[in-house]
Amino acid sequence: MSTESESLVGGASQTERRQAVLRKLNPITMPLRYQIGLLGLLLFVLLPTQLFPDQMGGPTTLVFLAIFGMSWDVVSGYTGQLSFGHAFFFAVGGYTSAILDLQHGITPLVGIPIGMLLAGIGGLLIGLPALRLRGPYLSLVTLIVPIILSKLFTLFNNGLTPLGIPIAPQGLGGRNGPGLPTQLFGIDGSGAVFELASGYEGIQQTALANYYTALGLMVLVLIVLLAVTRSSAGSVFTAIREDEDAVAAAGLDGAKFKLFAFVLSAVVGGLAGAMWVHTIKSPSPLGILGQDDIQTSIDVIIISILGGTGTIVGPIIGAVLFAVTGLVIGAIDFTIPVVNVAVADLRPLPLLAAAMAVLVFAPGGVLRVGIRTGRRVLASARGEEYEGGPGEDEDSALGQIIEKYRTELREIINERR
Amino acid sequence: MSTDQQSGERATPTRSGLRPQDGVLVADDLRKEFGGLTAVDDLSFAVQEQEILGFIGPNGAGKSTTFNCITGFYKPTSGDVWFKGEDVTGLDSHRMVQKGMARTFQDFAPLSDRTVVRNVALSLAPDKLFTLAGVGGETRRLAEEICRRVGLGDQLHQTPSELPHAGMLKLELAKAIATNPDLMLVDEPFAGLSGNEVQELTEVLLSLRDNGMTLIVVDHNMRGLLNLIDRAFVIQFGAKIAEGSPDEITDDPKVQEAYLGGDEI
Ligand SMILES: Nc1ncnc2c1ncn2[C@@H]1O[C@H](COP(=O)(O)OP(=O)(O)OP(=O)(O)O)[C@@H](O)[C@H]1O
Ligand SMILES: [Mg+2]
Repeated sequence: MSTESESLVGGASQTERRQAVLRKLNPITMPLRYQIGLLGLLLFVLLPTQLFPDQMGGPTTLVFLAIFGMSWDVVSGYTGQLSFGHAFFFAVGGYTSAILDLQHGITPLVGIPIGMLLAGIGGLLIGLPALRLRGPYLSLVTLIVPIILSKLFTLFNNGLTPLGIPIAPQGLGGRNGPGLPTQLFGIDGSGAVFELASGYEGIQQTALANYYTALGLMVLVLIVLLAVTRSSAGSVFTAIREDEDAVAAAGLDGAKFKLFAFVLSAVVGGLAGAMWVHTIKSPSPLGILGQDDIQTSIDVIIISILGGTGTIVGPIIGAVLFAVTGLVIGAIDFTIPVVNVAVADLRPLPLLAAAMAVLVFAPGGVLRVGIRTGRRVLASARGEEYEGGPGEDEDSALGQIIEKYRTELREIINERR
Repeated sequence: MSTDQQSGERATPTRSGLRPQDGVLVADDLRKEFGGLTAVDDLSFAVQEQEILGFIGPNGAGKSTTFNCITGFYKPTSGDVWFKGEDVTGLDSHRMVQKGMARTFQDFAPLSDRTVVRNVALSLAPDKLFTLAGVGGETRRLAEEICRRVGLGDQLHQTPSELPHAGMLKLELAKAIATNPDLMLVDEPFAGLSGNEVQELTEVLLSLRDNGMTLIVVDHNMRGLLNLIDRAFVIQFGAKIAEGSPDEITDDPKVQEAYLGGDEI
């Protein structure tokens, strides 16, 4: 239909499209915010020059958290289907690859893609009911799923061989995890997939290799998710967030796009989760799912809200803020009198407070505030008055998500009456 | 053809005798019940290609519900819908649109997070997950052109909330037009419009018809539709009470009774 009508206007040529893409990718003609983004990436690349190798753990974790945040953002931030248990996907990816390596001798180079695939199937399994469930019910499902997974880890502590099929003959390892899988990088003789130099130099190289691998993954995920969300699929995602009937009336299969968002998100999360356990994270419920099997999932949401939901780039900024806040709080050597608690022991309270502050004062997230401030500055430099872009100051993505959620909750309550 | 399952007490269910080929759109014994309420009561009608049918009835008569049943937003309780000779009863609403049947909503709610032109562009988005369509700007140009046709040329980059009431109705129409339909079901396009604005939109709808589109237009009464429709179909309490040319309808005693004391037909 649409292709037919496009030909009415004419000029819908292949070359024109290609030129438009190239124009958008040219760093010199890019809008300022993209140039700043590229600069930010450059800082990520240069960061190790300012640190000792044994300080690289934090930044590498930060990069993984950013990827997890982007994974959450593409489904929850864009389509408004809130997932409260996103670490489920990271765990499926991580555990799959770890078990394949530890108990079946399959190299991570094969195990990681399989972990990614299985996480994608997990996305399908959660995405399918999500088509029928309204927000609040979906929240319950997503909250419970990682907890069930964690129980399974304990239940099949010593062996998982259903119907005699040895899926994990030595078990899922309960609270301790299945053990440390083969690392992607390690010093000479460590048995890692890529053995680097020996001794201290090897340790240095390993830390750097882990960091740059994570960073490369982040850039890859960033490119893929930006391409999807900036294409027409992205405008369908955000339309789903606002009004599903409008999507149907536009002749678009909302269910297909929702499911796609879920699977894409799960695949990204599974890939990152699998890479995580072969670089810097030992697979265990506490390590991957976090405290109470839920902390990682909550962190990921906080990261996305801090940076800006429905932006993809926001979670990277959010992860930086998250890490910096953690560092600052941890470094504060101050004991609150009367109650006698050290500030450093208050974690994660200060982070939650920061997230609350963003919710109240800048519900669009730091990224949107930054872009808006930038535009205002540029406009006044040109001597103009900045009037604001469409929807900028009104409904933020987060506002829309919450509104959708509230409406659905009201519907459910009304039905129960 | 399905018969009415719900009211078995009737000895002979009404049969319209309509066949799938009798029009571009054929509704046959269409029925919709909400609990005990029968909102659409065994309606049957056919619409011919390039016809403009007025679908008229007082408040709560079941006009919007009929639209919802035809366009797949509700599953009919019973009855059939044929579109271009094909049984499309109960098909998903987005599939209907893809088959060439668009609709506007009476309680329209344009997407508030994007401009007028981007609201229209959504209807031009292909139903595909991976596509480069739109990158070259051709989708935007087409969306702009459609906006201009309905008279939104000066408001392309405003948000819907900045539009006056008439602008909202035009936007609702533009979104439907952008799906490139063969049949368009328009729910109360003239509600709250001034005479001039009604005239402006009437001309838009007539030009769509001249370009091959078939239209069903809902309104409470016929005043606004007189210059537009070829034929009127009047319903009350979900059932048909009259059908014919605008003149025949105004003189129909049943219609006059239905509107007695209330609106004027
Ligand atoms: N989803 C629903 N659930 C229950 N009842 C409904 C629903 N939708 C419509 N109805 C009822 O069905 C009847 C017909 O409503 P409908 O909206 O189709 O009328 P209408 O002819 O479009 O009226 P109006 O001119 O006011 O738009 C009304 O009594 C209405 O209350
Ligand atoms: Mg109505």
